[in-house]
Amino acid sequence: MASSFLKGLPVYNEQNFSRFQGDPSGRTSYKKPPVYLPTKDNPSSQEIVTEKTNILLRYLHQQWEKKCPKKKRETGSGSNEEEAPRNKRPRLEPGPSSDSP
Amino acid sequence: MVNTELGISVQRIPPQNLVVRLFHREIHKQSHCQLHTDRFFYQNVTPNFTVTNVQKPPCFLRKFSPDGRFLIAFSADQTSIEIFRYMGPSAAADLLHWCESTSVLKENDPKTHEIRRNIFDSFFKLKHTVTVATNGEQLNRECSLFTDDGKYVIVGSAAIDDVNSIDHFDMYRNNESVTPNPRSPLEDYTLHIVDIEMGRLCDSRTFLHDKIFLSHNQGLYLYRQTLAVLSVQHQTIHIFQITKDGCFLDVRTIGRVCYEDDDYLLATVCTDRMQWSYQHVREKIINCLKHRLLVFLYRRAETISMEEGNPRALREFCHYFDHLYRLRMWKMQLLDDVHLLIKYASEEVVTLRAAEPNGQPSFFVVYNMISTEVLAVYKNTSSELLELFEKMADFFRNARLSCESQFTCSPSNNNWARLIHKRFKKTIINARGGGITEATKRLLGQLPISAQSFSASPYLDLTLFSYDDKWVSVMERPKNCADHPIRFYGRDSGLIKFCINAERVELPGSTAQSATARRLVAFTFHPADPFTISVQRANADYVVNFHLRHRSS
Repeated sequence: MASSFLKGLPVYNEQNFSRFQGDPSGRTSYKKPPVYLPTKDNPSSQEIVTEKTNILLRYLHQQWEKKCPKKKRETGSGSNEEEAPRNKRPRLEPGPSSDSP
Repeated sequence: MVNTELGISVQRIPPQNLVVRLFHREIHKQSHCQLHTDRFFYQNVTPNFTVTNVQKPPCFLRKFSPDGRFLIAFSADQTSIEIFRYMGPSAAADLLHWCESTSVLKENDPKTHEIRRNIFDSFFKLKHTVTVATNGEQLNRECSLFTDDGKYVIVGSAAIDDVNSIDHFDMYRNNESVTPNPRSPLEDYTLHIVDIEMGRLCDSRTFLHDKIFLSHNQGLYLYRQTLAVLSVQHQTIHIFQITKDGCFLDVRTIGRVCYEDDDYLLATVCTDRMQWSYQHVREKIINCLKHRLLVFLYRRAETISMEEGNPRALREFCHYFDHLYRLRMWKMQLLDDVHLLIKYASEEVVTLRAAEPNGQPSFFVVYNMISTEVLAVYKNTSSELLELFEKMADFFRNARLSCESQFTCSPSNNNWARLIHKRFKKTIINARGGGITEATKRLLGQLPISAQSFSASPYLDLTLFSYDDKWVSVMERPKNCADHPIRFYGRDSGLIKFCINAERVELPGSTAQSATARRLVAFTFHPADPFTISVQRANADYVVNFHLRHRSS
């Protein structure tokens, strides 16, 4: 049916459409492939819920696990390679602090 | 011929007209999700009209309830709470309908006085007056916490203690108690919880001979149903649960002990601990909370020493041990139901004796109340904590816990707020005597953030409007009075949408104030409607302006 709208349109080069097969007869009404419709609804065993702890605390817990491993004191922790913990050590000076340059 | 016409190309802006926008909403023209499209309608209905110098009954206006239905005020003698019902943004339409001025009420109009006299009563009807502080205490005018469902409000009252009448063991209840001084005298505090709808006092809790910073909700924090109260004098945090019918339920006390049975456990070693003559103030054992903090720092120093291969970190820990031991809790907030963020500083800072509290070093500790573990300790110059604060500011602010979608304007969820924050940071970094450390200290000085100190009004949303942060902002603190109206521009169009006139108002008959005297103005925005109250102090009086929506016909 659509081929009747596409007839006779202007074209640059007819050779571009040499492979096009027009609407072959006998196939104007082809059935859609059958779709499977389930009749039974099984609730999946996995349920999606929002995590209770917020993202900030999850991150802090993660950092804590990395930095203070509970029972692995002898092996030393290979996980904290970053330099950031260095400047968090207590550097408390009595009186006015001399941090600013 | 090539068109060589020069000129400024016309910039297209989205449609601003209300009717056109409604039509587009009907045909689903916008590609945003419905919630965001609906937010843009706030640009069409704005609080553009100012009624200056409103006559109000003698009370101190405080805040709107989170659902916007009530306004809480403190009575003039600061012993009762006055609950006003808010009648809606158009309550004064009949009073103002003749008014032709577009932005501010004209001074010399005959009907102006009539409007000033009646407008408060048309917006607010007094529903209840609840007498709360009956024993000589005075309610703190800058302290109020609303529960998430908007049913209850928690207020605090205080009465100064007579120093001579306090027993020594009441003043120093454990070995970490600070020494009171005339700058921060001891007071008796009571927290009250009031049912807003019924207008009755539900419960109270008293703290005798104590020091709790009630102003701006600093010493309190309400996270859903958990209320934390920091007693600076006794270095204890009291945790309460607010039940559904508005009662305080004592849950735990943290400070000297972390678990309730700590005393019992330690008594197996230190046998005189359970005796009635045992004096907490003289005990030699370090308080449990302080102990957790020191152990965390020790273990971390140990891990670092092990890594580095030299005992430098441990040596530093030992060197500073005394200073660490002498740290005291200064401020705190709840990060969720079980985690506390506590700020420690030296005793001088905590008892308000230091001249520059934010210049002194301080520590932030994240503590889990249930497992009694310290999760993290950061110094106030820590870039890691600053990064966390910038990326997850909403979890520190906890501005709109009751709503699922938090349209708060913070540097972590709003690009414009992030821009303002970055500019502020750059200004400090580039200033003389500044630098990254100074900027970090200044920005982390905002932590811990007081509860419920951020407004959720859509008129302060930086995605909808652009305004100068210096004169009004989402943080509910008094700001400097501008000399000109505060202009709000629409964010998508750049066109001016409305002005808030909160200029200095000189009352007739007042003494000649110098023009350079600084004046502060406090804004109270309604959580959803185009209605704002601005309060300034002029000599001994308070000048109240209403900013509402009015279109001259």
